[in-house]
Amino acid sequence: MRPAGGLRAAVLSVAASVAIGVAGSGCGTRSAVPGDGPIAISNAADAGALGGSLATLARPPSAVLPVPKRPPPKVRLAVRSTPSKASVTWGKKALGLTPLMIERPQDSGPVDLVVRANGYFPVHVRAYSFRNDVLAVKLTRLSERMTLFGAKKELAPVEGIDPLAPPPPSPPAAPPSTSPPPG
Amino acid sequence: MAPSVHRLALFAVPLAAALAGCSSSYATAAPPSPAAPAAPPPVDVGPIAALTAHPDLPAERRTVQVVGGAERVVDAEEAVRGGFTLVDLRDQWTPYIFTEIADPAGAPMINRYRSIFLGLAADRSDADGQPLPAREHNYLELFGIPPTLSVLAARFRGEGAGGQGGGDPCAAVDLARIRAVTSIPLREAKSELKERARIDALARKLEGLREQAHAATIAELASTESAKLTDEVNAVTKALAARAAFAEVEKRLRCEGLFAPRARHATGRFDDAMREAVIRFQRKHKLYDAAALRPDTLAALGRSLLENDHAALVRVLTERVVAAANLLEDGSVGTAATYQGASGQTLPVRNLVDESLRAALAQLGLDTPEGALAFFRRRSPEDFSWLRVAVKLPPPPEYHSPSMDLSVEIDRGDVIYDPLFDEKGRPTNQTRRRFPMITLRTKYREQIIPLLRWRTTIGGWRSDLASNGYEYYRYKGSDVGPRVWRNVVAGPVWIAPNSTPVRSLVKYKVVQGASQQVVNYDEVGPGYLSAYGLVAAYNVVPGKDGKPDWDNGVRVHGSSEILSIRNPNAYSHGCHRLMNHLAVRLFSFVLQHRPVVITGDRTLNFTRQFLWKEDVYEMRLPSRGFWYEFDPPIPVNVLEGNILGKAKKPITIYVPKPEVEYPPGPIPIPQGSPEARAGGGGDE
Repeated sequence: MRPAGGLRAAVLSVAASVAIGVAGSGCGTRSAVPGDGPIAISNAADAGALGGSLATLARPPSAVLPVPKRPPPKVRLAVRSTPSKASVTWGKKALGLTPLMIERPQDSGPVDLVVRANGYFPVHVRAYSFRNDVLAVKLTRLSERMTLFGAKKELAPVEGIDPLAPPPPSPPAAPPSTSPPPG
Repeated sequence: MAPSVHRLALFAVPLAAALAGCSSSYATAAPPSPAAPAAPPPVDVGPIAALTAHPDLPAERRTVQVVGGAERVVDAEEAVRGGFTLVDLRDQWTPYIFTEIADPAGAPMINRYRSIFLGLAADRSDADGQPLPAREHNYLELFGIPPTLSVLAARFRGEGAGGQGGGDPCAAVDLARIRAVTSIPLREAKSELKERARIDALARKLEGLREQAHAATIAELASTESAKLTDEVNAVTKALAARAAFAEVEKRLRCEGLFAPRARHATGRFDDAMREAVIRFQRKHKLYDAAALRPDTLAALGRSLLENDHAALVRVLTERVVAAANLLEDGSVGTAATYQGASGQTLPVRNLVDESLRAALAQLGLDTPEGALAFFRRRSPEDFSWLRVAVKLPPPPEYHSPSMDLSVEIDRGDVIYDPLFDEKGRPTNQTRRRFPMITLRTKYREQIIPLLRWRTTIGGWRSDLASNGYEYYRYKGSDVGPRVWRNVVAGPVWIAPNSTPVRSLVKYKVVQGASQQVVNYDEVGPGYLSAYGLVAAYNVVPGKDGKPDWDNGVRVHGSSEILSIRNPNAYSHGCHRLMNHLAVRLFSFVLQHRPVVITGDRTLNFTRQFLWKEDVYEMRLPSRGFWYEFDPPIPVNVLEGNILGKAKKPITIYVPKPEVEYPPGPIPIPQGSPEARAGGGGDE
């Protein structure tokens, strides 16, 4: 499909394309800074105030040599759920109840969370750290299983044969018939 | 940053002196493997001028030329003016599709997979961009991500293997014993014990006979006795050679540090621990081989560490040279392909990759393992933050230009529409002899010149999830006829259609020290393991009169499903798959030889929940990858190929699997969306 016209960031002639290629290949890199430092958590009823744009988080063009190491900026990951007050875990770590806010170093990799509430299916969901992120998790009641994609229809048991059912009790012995058999 | 005097002084040291003066992490200058091919003749690039040495240049202008065996720092601009090509050996290198590009205002266009690619290449982070555990290695060459020069330098220094740089960790391995066999049969534990007992008994019997006959060896015994005895002697000799080789293979895998730290390997057995170690060895050495001890794997196991490290350097430099010289022709079109040049002369389509690589290796003194070892001994870790080398490469062919008239032809080869099973559940004949091939061509002086011809894939019978939650077979074909490439996506994202079996969308991952199930983002991307690999082009029928393009979900893309490309019985879901590293080469070349609009990262914000067992998984895809648009698009023609079997047209309904019990009622109707038809992936 053709991309929307508004997305066109740069219309390049071949010459410009080559020039950019040279400039690009001559530059260094935004090296990943995969920090795994402590996380900061806070309850965040105002998570909607998040959503910093990529533009504000974008780094300046890199220099030829690696820039001196400095702590990466933090991003804020807001977790909300319906219903609220669901517990959130990150691996073995319990982060608290929704709504909550997590701070992580930018570009430190994804945060794989599990959101749980009694009577609902647990939801496994990923937050991204390349920008501020908001997760609005919808939990589904156990009784609403068939509304979920991937739920299997049960196989209907073949009539009269249920391999899991206990064997039926033997019928009482019929009294000896005195009538003639059907014709 | 100014270079230190110490580092600059190193460049004046002749290579031979450097080699002689340093201690080795390899036991000796290992004798070359008998299997090593003879060095091809040097490539003639004409006279190479020695550039003026400028030892005090700032890093961004610095490049290294090797003159008379000694390195000197020269001016990069002067080198380019002098017809040299600068090969980038920095750790920040990526292929063109992942380079940093600025928009017209000078702001960087975020290419999100770039940092992941760099982290993976440097053994710094995993596929999610999270830190790699200490001493862990990615080994991703098979999947299109070559290691950085720093990673190779560590290998040459012996780090990472069992020796930790204190001498050749594999000196105790008897390589001759490994080289003495071409393959080692692998059996289940019980069968192996039985076979060992049989061979041992046979050996005892033969030994008794040898003593009786006063023969010096059992081989001598065989030469004087019956044919049956000869067979028995051969069987024992072969089995004992394989047993001896197996023991050396175990030592080799251990000394290279390829057993997992907590692996429990039972000596003499090809158990899970050893299988994993073999797989890691194959990945480290870019071996397209099954997890077994077959000829290619054994040949590599029988080479010295230094030889294999040199082979890795050559592979890495291949990609660096290809990128620097901006070329693609690799000899895959065969030696018969020719064109008529402007002079009227008939000229061959050259193997530019091989020519350029050989020229670069020879000029840099890297064409031997010992030369490569000396090169890395001269390096300090900081060098790979700035190191570029100036080499004189063979001139490009006259049909190369910034705007080439490129087109693509995909031949589907033999095509079989017949279902995999007949009405009685018996497998049908699905044998193909002609396999699908992709050819990139250019038009030059009214001639169509093939630049490359590579094996690719077409669609076939695949498992599909129907609306009733059960899997059926569905024929997922590859469209025939004229198409175009309008878009190429670096770090593409595949949106799994609803018909994708859910079981493939979940995987285990260690999260904060706990193993938990997560959405299998490896499959959707961006990433080298994803359905679209590292890069994809969309095959579409261009829209006319204001109508949008017609997209049937078929792509030409990189893939980590190596066997699907190489195995005669394997198919895709309709897409034309390429090895990741070849896809990266192809699209990097095409993007630099056609007018292109760079649209950059395309926001998606897609979410979907699904149930697997008793948990819900929410798939979240923030982006579709980094987009380029060809303007005008590149023509693609997909040929029908040879239709074999009874069915002459694709079967469009679901076919039940013989082994599955289905619920009562009619078979569901397959979904008709493009992504469901060809697995292409939910378009907007």
